[in-house]
Amino acid sequence: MNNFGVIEVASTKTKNAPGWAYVPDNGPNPSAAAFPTSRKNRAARNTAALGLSDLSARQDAKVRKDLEALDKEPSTRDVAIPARSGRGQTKHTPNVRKILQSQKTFANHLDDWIAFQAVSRDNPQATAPWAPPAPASASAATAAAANNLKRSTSSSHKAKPKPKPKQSTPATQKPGPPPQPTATPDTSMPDAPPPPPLPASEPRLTLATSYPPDGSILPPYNRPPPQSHPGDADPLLVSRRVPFPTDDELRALMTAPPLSYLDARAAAAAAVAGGAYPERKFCEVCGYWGRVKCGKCGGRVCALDCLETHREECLRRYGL
Amino acid sequence: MAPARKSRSAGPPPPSRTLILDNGASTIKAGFVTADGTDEPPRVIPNCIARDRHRKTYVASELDKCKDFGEIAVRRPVEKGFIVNWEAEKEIWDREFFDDKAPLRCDPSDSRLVLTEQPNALPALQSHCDQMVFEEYGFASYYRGVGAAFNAYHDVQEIFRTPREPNAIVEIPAEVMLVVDSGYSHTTVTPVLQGRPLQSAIRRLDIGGKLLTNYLTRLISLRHFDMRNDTYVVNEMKEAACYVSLDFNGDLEKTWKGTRGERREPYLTGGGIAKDYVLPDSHTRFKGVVRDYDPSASSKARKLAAGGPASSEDVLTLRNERFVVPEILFNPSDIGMRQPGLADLVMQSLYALPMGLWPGMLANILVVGGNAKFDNFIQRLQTEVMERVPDDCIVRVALPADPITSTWTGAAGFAKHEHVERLAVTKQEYEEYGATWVARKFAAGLGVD
Repeated sequence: MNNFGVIEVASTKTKNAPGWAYVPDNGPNPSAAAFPTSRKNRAARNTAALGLSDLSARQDAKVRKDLEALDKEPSTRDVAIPARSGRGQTKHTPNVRKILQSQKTFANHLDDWIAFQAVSRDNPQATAPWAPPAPASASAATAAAANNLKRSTSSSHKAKPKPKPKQSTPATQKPGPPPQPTATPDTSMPDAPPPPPLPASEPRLTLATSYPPDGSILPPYNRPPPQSHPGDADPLLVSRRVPFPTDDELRALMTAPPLSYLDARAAAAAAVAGGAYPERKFCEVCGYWGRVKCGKCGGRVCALDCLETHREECLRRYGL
Repeated sequence: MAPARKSRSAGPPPPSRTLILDNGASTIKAGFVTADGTDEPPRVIPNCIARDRHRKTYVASELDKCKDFGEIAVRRPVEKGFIVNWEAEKEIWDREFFDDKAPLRCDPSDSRLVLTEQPNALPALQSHCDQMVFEEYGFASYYRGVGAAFNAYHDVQEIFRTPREPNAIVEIPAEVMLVVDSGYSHTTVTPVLQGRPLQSAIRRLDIGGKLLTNYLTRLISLRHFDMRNDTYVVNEMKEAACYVSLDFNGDLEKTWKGTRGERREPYLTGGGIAKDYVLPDSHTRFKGVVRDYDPSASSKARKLAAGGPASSEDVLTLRNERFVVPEILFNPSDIGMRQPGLADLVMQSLYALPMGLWPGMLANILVVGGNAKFDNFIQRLQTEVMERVPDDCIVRVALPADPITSTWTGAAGFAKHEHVERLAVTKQEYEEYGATWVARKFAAGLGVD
């Protein structure tokens, strides 16, 4: 329900905590995606979700509040650290004293870090204290991931061997075995080195004499190749092989800097697969499939019994 | 504090003992590794300060003495997998490792510390950690690394039961593996290549044991008793009774009571799913017990409630709560969370890698962390991952003997490996080059040989 186009104005509740910082607001806020509390983000998500789901702003806010409650530490009422008389006050270094006295929570630290990122984006020379991974590299990595993803979703499920642009270094490749009969014999490309076979035990076309090809990072495959089979040359039976990453690629992977905390959070399924499965709806009372909507509030229940239980407490108006 | 050392060109000799701390949000896994290789299993210590309803306070392993967990309040120094509150953490560490009567007494000036951390930490928290280790405790040598990556220092193929020759050389660290770490605060997927975590492909799902417990608490409070102040009891219930369903639709069907007036057979008999959980009453019984569902008990209880003497025990019948709760690890959208399920999380991590590495990763998926103890967890993960990858790929998912201490045992293997000498930082180096240098060295990791 779109609630007749009326979208709830966000509350003005702000977080009042130690460790606050002024953040220059230019560009999308990464924390909002992970911990969606800002009103800007709420508005953005509403426009995106309209039409697809029937969540109103109110219901959306309720789901979010529920999730926040679920994520909270259970029963953290203030438990004081027991005082002990046995140990005398030792002297701490200034750093240690500062750390021990800090009452910041993880959310405070995260906000600090985001603020620091924003500042370092604006004037890079002021970024002395910490050396976080350069945002450029992190975004490049995610972009590469997205690119990789797009490629694989656009192509069919069977992985097709794609010639990697990085592999165009024939000078360093050793000559290797003579060109093998490939699945498509009409397009002969004699200069290209044969791609290394998959390590999985499956029928393969080439003799696996060396795997990976010039493997200085991963040790070579030195077991005997699987037995040849009369159907090996059959273009219908042949397995597709993906090129093994080159040493340069592996080296780049192994020395890549860590992503930031927010970048490492997995993206929503809908954004990845393009067409995610629809959300499953459950009965709010007993947990079976939510097959019936309450006419008053739109909540889901399974059958009459549960509907009656639900109605006893149903106070909300539909769509609100 | 460590005595001042004379600077020698070769540096001090490596310390004789290594204290290995897998400092989780829920429990600390701690133990020593010595050069001569006498291995003891790690101690599992609750990483919390708790106060029960009689206002008695328990710190860390003192919690074993606590009997009545009703309405217990718990304070945890670790948030989201990272040590945030050092005031509380120091108290716990002091009691467990550094006091005179500590159960795992440790002399930092003659020990090396290997500390695990969660991936993608905030730099400020990492530097706090380094400063505390060197400036407060003064460990002679120290390494802090991504916890999941330590699992590569197991004999991984033994866990996977790979057939091989009896005297084959065990590769340590393992060449290629994918570690799924499902802990208290979150679940991460870490591809590991020869002991090095592939940082750009680490992905996180913000669902962990804590969220599952909270969800079960909510369900029970809605349907049975209000247990919102008894999360500790609910957690025990979750560990004892919950399982991952291999046939979600079928199980849900069996636990449905039906439309009005309908008397469905599987519901009345329990359908093999319903279980009775006897709650602790904190007088005679201090631990809950799982029992098979007794259909006659429920009607008897109703009769008793109408007239006769009150029943001596509180019994809670768990039906679909048993599998709906772990299900949200695989379908976070069930509770409205906009994150992918565990299998999709694995796939997202793989998409960040070149496709040539996929077969190796998929054939070596290791699941660690407390949530892996749910029944059928690895079977479900294996089925779901298999649905998502090409037919040619072999998918193997395995569970170590003890998924909770697996990272610790891996780190123990690491402490005996030559890698530790390359990575560890001495106190002397810290004092000479400073915290930033140490942070950079740990972030760079092993690099490439």
